Amino acid sequence: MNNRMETIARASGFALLAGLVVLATMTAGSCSSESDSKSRAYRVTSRTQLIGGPTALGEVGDFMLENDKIRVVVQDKTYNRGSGVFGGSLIDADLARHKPGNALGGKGRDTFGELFPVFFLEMIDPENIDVINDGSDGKAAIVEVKGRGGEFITMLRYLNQVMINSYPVDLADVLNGVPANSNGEPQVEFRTRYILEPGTSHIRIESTLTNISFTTLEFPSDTIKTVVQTLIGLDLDGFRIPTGHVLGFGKKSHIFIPGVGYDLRFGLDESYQTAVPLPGFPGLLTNVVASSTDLGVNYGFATVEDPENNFVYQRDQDGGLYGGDAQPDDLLFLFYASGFGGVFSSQGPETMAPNFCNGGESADAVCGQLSGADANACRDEWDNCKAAQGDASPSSYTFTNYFIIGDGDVASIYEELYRIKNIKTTKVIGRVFDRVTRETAGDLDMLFYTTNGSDCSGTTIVNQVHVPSGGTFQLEMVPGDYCYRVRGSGRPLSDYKYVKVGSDGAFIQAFAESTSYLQVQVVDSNGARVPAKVSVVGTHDYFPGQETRSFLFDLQAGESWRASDMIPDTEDPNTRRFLEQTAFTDHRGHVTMNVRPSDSYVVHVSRGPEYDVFTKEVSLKPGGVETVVAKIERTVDTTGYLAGDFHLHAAGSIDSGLELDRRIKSAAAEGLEIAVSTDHNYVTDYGPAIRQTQMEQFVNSTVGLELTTFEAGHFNAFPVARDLDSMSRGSIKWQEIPPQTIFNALRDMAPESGNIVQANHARTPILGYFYQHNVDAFDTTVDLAFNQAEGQDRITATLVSPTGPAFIETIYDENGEPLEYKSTFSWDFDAMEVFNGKHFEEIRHFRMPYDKTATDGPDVLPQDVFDGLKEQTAALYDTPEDFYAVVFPDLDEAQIMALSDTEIEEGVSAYVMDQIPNQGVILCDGDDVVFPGVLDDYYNILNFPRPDGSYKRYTATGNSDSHGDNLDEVGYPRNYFFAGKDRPRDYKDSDLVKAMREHRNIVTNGPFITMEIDGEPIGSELEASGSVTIKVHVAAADWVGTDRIRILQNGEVVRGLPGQNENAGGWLPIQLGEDGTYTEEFTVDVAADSWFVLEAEGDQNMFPVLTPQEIPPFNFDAVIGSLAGAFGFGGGVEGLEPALIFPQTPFAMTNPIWVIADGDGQFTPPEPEVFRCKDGAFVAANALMSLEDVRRLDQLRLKAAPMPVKIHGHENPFKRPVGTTTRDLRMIFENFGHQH
Amino acid sequence: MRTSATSTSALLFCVLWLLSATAHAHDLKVERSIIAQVHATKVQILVIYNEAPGDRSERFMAKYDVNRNARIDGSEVLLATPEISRLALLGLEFEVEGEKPKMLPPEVKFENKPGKPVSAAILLTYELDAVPQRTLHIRQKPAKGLPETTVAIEAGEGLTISNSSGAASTRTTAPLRLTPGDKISVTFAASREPPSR
Repeated sequence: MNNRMETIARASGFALLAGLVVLATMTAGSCSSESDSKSRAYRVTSRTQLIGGPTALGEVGDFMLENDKIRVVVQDKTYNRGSGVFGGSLIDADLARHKPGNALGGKGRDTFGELFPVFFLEMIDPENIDVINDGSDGKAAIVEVKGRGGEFITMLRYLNQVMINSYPVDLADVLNGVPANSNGEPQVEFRTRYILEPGTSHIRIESTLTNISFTTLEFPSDTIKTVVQTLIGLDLDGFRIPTGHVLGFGKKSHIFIPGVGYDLRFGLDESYQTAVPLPGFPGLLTNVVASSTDLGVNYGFATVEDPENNFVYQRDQDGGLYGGDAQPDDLLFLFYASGFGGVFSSQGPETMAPNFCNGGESADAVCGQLSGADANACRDEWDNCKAAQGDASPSSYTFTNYFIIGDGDVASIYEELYRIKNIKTTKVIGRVFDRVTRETAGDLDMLFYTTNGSDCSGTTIVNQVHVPSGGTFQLEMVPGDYCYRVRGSGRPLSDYKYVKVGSDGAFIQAFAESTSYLQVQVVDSNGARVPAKVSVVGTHDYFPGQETRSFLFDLQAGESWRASDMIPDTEDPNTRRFLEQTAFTDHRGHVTMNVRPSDSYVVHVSRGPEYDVFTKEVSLKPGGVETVVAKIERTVDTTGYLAGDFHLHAAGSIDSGLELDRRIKSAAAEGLEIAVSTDHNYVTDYGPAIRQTQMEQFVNSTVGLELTTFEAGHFNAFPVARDLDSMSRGSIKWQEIPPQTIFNALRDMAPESGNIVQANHARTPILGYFYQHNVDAFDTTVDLAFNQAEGQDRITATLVSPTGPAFIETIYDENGEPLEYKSTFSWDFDAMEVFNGKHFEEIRHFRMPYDKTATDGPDVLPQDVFDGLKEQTAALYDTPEDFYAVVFPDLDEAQIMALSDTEIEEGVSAYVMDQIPNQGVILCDGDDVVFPGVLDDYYNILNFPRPDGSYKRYTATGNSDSHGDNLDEVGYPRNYFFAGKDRPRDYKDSDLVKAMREHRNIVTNGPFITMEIDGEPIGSELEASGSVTIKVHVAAADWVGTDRIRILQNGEVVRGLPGQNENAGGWLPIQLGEDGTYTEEFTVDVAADSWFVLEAEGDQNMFPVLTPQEIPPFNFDAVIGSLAGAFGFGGGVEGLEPALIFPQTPFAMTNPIWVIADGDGQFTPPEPEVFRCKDGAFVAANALMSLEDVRRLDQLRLKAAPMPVKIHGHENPFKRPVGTTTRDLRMIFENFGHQH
Repeated sequence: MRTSATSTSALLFCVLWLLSATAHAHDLKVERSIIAQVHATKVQILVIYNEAPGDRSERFMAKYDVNRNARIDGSEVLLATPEISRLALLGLEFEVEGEKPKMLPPEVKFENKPGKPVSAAILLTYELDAVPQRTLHIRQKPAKGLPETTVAIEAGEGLTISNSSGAASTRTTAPLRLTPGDKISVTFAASREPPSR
């Protein structure tokens, strides 16, 4: 991509057109005095000094940097109060607003998350934070953070240490299964300085690495390079350690990168498709990471121009890795997820000389200050140190970046960047009018593109400026040819218009396309006004083979994603529906929407899965108004149950930012009755927002928390106490804390009636508790991965297992030496979130989806999947001949050679087909389930006692984990928990706690299902013998539906029900009656203690009320895969993995009912036979081996093959005579190589 | 493309264990001697592997002699185990008819004679259930470039050879030179107690 703005001379002087200019500069208030323009750095001593804002976390004791334009807070060296790991990060940032705060904090508009420097993948664990210059001398104010190396992902600890030399690494430790730690003596010192010059709107960040050891350090060391090269042929010569920053701009900031605009998601995806080999990495090249918000403050990031050390520029100069496009001030944008992104800007030196001899003092003076081994090393290495000094091997290395604060739009970031880089610009001003009304139009955005010509061909997006309500705008631009467009909510994106920006500026008169207005009033069947959701659904034109994002909306321009029905498009318009817009009414059921005009929309009004859906066709003309009165009816009876969502995010979460009133409106509109607030490391109370929106009749809340560790799992606790005196309102430290301690601390936050601790999305990579702690996917046993592995697998596991006190408990012997390592995993939680959001792919262990015996239908094995399996199977063998010998075991080599290509192909295909597992078999990768699912984990937990021998019953829950209100619907899935009451007003927290403890909970994204066994409800334990009567009830609104059910007994499908399918799924098709319900009783034999669960599914697409998972979830594996691609790795079989995008269809499950059948009064867990991937019960193991698993010695299969035997007599190489005595092979082995 | 947990782990730069797929046995002038002992509850196979002098031996040392002391010892043995095992067992198949032995991790020792090519002993142990009779098959695949292979099969305590194509006694076969495509089958039965006097 070429998105560079040329550097030209700054325009000198311009005329402002009076009456049309709105100052978009940053300061408000009177002229600055000399003292006001100074920068200041100081330690915060009162909360009134803090910045404040929706995501502000600064506290007394932190460090402030401010001038007349901006203010930022650097956190003290306490545990990180946000989602990061260490203190010392920049955590709050805002324009200077001159509004003093109060005892609760500042009154600014900070929406920033966090930023910190990284050296490769290492960050600073601060030991000292100081004010270096307080700014009273009129110079820059400086805060310095200094410390040792720390990990934000501990599984990268060894990798970091060998690459960045933060601590000495003993290779023997890796080989002996000793986990990495950061307890050793640091070899390098990390330092970062936050520098604020007077009168500027940016922080200059200078980050320095210094060699504080006594020897020259190599990055990475020659030993590592040699090992890597000789083992896998990977040449690390010329590899330079990249350095940069982690940027957490927060969800309220819409990231903008020139060239991809606001489409970071697919822009990054596209960049990952290009395999950039080492010493480069894939990602987006840009000279600025900007953002925009509608809050009057925004953020940007850039780097200095440094041809010698710029990472991408040097990679391009050396090897053209970036197509020759890289510039000396470019950043490499690597990834972005959940409000956090990573950039590399610079590269470190290949070697660094020691710093200890660098100060101009004599050896005696320096070494005399040390003692013991350090003093000796100092003297021994002094001459070497002196000899090593030089440009090629500096003793310290510094890279510099800029953090910019703007006033809300991308243009304000550029303005400061132009000043920093001394780029000459000119002023562009303009005004926007509505195309139909011809009135001034505001609350819009102007987008600017570079262009190939006045016909606006070949446009590349480069800038954005906000147009306030007055309709006028201005921005600084580099003179040149541009095109612009106007974007506004509810307005079509305008066409491109050309503008030439000359050296004396430009004036633009722009036209915004008109919006239309839709007014909706909602009542229920009694005529009462009720809150509801309004979904406006359109039908797009037919563009075969094209994705909707290429013609229906423009992500680069910042337009919202329009969800489609995900039905494959055809000429039939019913297959081409899309959701244009969604809105939520107020408590009186009223809403007015601005909608893109169209002749043909269908308005859907809904109120969650207990209500039907009202629809009406409307035509919305530009500038026109339409009114709809909708009547919706409750059709599902959930008497005694309340609908609750126990996992919700809003303004308190850095990756949400959703205003609380919108969160409450969205909850009420979906018929959710109990909303549990669970922000990341922040305790929020929805109560005030419920009162403010007057929704008390419809929704109530419980105060909760999602204790979010970086890589050790996410845990909800509800209810919890809220501490107004704490900046996180009562959240707790989690860094380096083992799970049991976390659980204890969460329980300490409970009110008198106690609380519930829930493990969230436990199998999500990196973020999941079970995933990170290596919980066995069959029997739920837990051990550290390197304790379980052997040989080369143990080395692998040691290298990449998460480490530190959060994961590992070290047991020491009497000499203080590590004796063994134990997992810190704890089972002391109460509930498991088995269904999270729309992630069907994380519910069950992934099973073979295809039926290899089918010749047609949806389950037919696709050809490309079969081809992939064939390729992988052949790759298990060293040569094709070896493979054919296995395929044709009855033929000798000559006979095989004589086969035709067709015969060989047929034989290979038949062999591979035989290896392919049957449909429904769990798929394995080596010893592991390739994609484990948390519901299968839950069933396994129900089947086995915990390690202490006790049997623990967890409550299964399902939650939306909603972070927004558009396409991220709250309450899907939800929980129907038995409270014995139906009005949210009557609800108390203790109702929820009681229901959870009694397991009286139903998980569903639509159907309401219940089960009784011998009259006992869900969650019960009863005694029975011989058989039980299971009563099943299903109820679903028309737009939800349910098509089948099944009953599970100890995790296996109960068979023999009339009409039940015989296949592996064992579903029983059902038909809902006219009233939308189904009720039936079944008699089931119970020979031993058993637990029962009811599951229900449907095939109906729940669009538009519940939109599909249409954008693939961001997967850290993809990022790691792209980084690993640079190292030449890859694996897996394309097509044989869970689908990540799909429409939403109904699914529900009950919590268990336990039946004691053996008469002993105590439930005995069934402990069924455990199948293993390794033992071959799941035969997929062989076929799905990744390339890395080529040769496992226990695969040296012992196969019989009748062959003619030729016996030859030759000398016996063994010295000992053959006789009747049995030789002791052990002794021969032990004595082998023993020399006297 | 989403990668599995195992491949993700491997992708994170943990390369030390990855076997090079490029080392094929094309330039073999190597020798290996095998003793296979069948016991009541296990099969043990000792392979003495002698690499030929020359490039391949030197490359092997360069790879695994990490501390450059001309020996493969200590932790370096773990590093080298996968490749030396592969070389030593190339083309061999072992079967205990009708049984599925459980294989224990292989044990490896290097001889480390200065100036001499790589030489290693690999001890394989397979655990079995006790049965009155078992048959061991050893087969060398019909492939090119395999080492010169000599094998002897012995009975452990409490067993005798009851049927073999090359038995030298009731307890062991003669050392047999295997060529590609050869198969040896030996059946063992529990020993009869000598009649009491």
